[in-house]
Amino acid sequence: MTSTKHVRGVDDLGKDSILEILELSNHFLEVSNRRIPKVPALRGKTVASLFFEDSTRTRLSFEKAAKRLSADVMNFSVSSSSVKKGESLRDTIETISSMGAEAIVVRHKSVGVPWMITEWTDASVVNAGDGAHEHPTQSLADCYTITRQFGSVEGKRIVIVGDIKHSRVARSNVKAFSALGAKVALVAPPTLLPSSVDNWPVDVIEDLDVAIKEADVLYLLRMQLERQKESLVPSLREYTNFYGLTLDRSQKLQKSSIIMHPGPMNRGVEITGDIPAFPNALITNQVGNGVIVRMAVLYHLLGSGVGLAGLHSEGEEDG
Amino acid sequence: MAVQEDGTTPHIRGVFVARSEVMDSDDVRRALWRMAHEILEHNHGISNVALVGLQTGGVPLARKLAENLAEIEGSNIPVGYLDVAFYRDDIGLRPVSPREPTEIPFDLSDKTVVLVDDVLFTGRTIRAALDAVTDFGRPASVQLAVMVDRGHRELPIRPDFVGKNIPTRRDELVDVRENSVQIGEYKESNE
Amino acid sequence: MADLVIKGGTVLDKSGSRKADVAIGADGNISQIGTDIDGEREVDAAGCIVSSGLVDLNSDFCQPGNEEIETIESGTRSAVLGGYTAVMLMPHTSPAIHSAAAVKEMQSLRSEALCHIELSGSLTLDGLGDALSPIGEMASLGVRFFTHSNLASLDLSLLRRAMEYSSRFNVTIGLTPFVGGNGHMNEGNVSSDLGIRGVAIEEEEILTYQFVKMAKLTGARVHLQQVSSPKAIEIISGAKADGVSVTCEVSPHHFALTDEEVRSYRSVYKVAPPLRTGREVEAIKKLITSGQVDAIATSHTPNSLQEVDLPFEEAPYGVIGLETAFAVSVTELNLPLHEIMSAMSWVPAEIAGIEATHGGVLSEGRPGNLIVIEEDTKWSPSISQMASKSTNSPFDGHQLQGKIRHTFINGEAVVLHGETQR
Repeated sequence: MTSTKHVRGVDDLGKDSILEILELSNHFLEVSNRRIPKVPALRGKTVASLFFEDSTRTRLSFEKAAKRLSADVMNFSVSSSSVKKGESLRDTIETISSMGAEAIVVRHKSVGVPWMITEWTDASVVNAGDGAHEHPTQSLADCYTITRQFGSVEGKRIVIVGDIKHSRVARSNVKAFSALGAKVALVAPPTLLPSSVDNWPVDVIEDLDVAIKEADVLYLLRMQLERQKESLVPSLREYTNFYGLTLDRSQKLQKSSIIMHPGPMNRGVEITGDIPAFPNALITNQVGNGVIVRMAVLYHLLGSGVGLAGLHSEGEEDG
Repeated sequence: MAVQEDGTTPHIRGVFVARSEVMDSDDVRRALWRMAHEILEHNHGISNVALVGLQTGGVPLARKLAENLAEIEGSNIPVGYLDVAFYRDDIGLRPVSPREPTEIPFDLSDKTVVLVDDVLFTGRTIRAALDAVTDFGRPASVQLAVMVDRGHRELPIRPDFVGKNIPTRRDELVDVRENSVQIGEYKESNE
Repeated sequence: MADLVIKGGTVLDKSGSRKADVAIGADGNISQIGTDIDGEREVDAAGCIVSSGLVDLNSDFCQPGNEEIETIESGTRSAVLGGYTAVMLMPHTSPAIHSAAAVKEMQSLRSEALCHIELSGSLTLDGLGDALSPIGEMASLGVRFFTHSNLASLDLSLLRRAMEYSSRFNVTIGLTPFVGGNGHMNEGNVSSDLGIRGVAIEEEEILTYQFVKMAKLTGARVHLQQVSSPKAIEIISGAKADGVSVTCEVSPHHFALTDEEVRSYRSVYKVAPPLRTGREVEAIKKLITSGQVDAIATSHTPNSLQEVDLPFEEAPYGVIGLETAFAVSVTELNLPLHEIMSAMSWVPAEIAGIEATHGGVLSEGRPGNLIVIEEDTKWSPSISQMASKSTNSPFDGHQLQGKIRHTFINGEAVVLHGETQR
């Protein structure tokens, strides 16, 4: 079920490709540390960025990644485009395709859009978030952060805390972390757990204070303010009380453990006080790793020849 | 069965089958010794000289040359390693993946950079290396040292220091190792 | 010499089956059923089953108001190709069928139909669940069925009043145990994996229980539409045993497809109530086989071309089904043809109140609303060849068995060899 042409969900990659992308990311880490953090690898290629949902951070992250590879970037954001005027999704994709995009990075509030789009274009499709379903490049970046810290994801105990039910980051991370052999546990109020979570390859732990002691990685999800309005939790204060990383709770973490958050943080809700500034909170690293990993993803799709499997030259090509 | 380490992207699944040895271990050793002397002579010593070995074939050679230079002159010379994958002109035409990390832990501005590679063939890898090097800084000059020049240039690139000139047919392959240089061909692997 | 003879087939009806020719007279009624009848025109039915036409209890032809999506003409064309001689239309047109004027307008549109159209009135004004429609007035114009769409909820007290009021007019109330807007698919493994809001099957069971309990209380006659839950069917069977006047229908997509289809993200699998799990689908099939489901209905719901390419969560509910319902039923259900015809022809004819002219026992004097069926023929539907203007068929390209060869409406051959004649 893996696809060599697209990164729509973690399953498009599979364990081997995930590891390849993490390996590639090391190269782009070195490039990003250079005086001129740019290589001509994707010169002449066009990456179209189609964001139906507002997101400056992710959009800029992809843009930076594409530019560091010397690719051209076409930005389509909903507010300015004809999509608002009622042009259909299909028409928009066909227009972008005909303008010659080799890759389309798409974020949409509805599940499944990246898969639908592949029917309408020859470009490689990268999912920057589809509804509550997947956000594979975020997961890859998180795997990279963990790998840089611990050497690998395999065997690590990763505890994900928060609104799992509505989180695409959680869904992609459960897949990616499990594929790489981590032990994943979820902690959430019962109203914020998916109905069939028993079928997921995870442990569900009721009490954060219990889960936190064994965690190598404590991964906090953003707690949306709207959830209180929908009566999914009685109040944000109660959420913080039972599920937030407070200063007291942070003392229970092992010395070697790390704290992660996909951002943006709701300070005072899922994470309080100065914790984001602690040395074991790698939240800012995650942002930098995001650009690096997105460079690896774009290169993997458009440069490393994954789609060209089987092709070979007439002879040795060197010197 | 090992896949040929040819210093470039392994795009052919196959095994290198040697047909003849053109340099043995003594030949290689002497060539590296001579090249070190040539570098010193050409540059009036090693001040301001830095070696950059191209991944992967040029790396052991660059190390050996640095050892030789240190032995002759009595002082160390900076050595860096460069993977040119991201600068290649055939990205998208064939699978191109970087293999080992680039490490250039010094500023190459105003230095004499000697690129070191195992085999000089079409010249495209060196062209890519020149682009990469200029991204790192503005060297005073760039020179090229190769163990084997096998001809068939497609770009106007010429080496400054050569271990051995070996005319080859286009479809042949040259394999440079620590203790030998062989000519052969790829046989499709049975896997 | 008869006008038209359907020759060489096996006649199948409520009373059983026998090898016989069927002769149609100039008045469009059956003039004779027997062996070796000659006619001026002969239609070949050798190796085929000759039966009463199918009757659908649940279709939407979008006219008046949304003719670009479907019309009475395109909808009935679809119907006759699928073997339907009568279709009951749902009232959520524009304007809704919630007044005498709207009823009269719909009745006048019958001239555009290729088969018989029966009307269902809206139980509440505009289907909004706030106020009762003029049920009495519409019933006096011949409307025997009143339905409430699933787009707005119906609170219990209004439901009770609707049932109590309509009991005087000898009508049937059709209710769907689903309220739109709460979820896009079945709540289960697939919805959890995909992050799509789901509706638990228990909600359908609770609504079903409310409806039958209220029917018992008020003495109303109800018909449960689009049931997808096996437990809901058991609740209905329990109510029947308890003396409640209740019938139920299941749609082919609910016994042929599961919620796993939604993993394709295609909106052609978005229906209300939603597709359920494999276990529930197997249970529904068993309940149909054991006779606890009265009717199979299509809930033929066309959508516009703009809606075709909408993401799953944004797409409207509903699929078309008139041209595939019979074949899907034959293919999926482990049932003899007699039982399938019971669920698709004579029982729905009774539920719709048209058993005088459709379904029933085939005999002299009965109207010639007949179909000729090739029970064993394998075929594959293709949306590009369907008569419906809409393309949302989940069975496009599927391998099916059971084809309608000819369809007769009042003795006229409206479909011959799978092609409409006008």
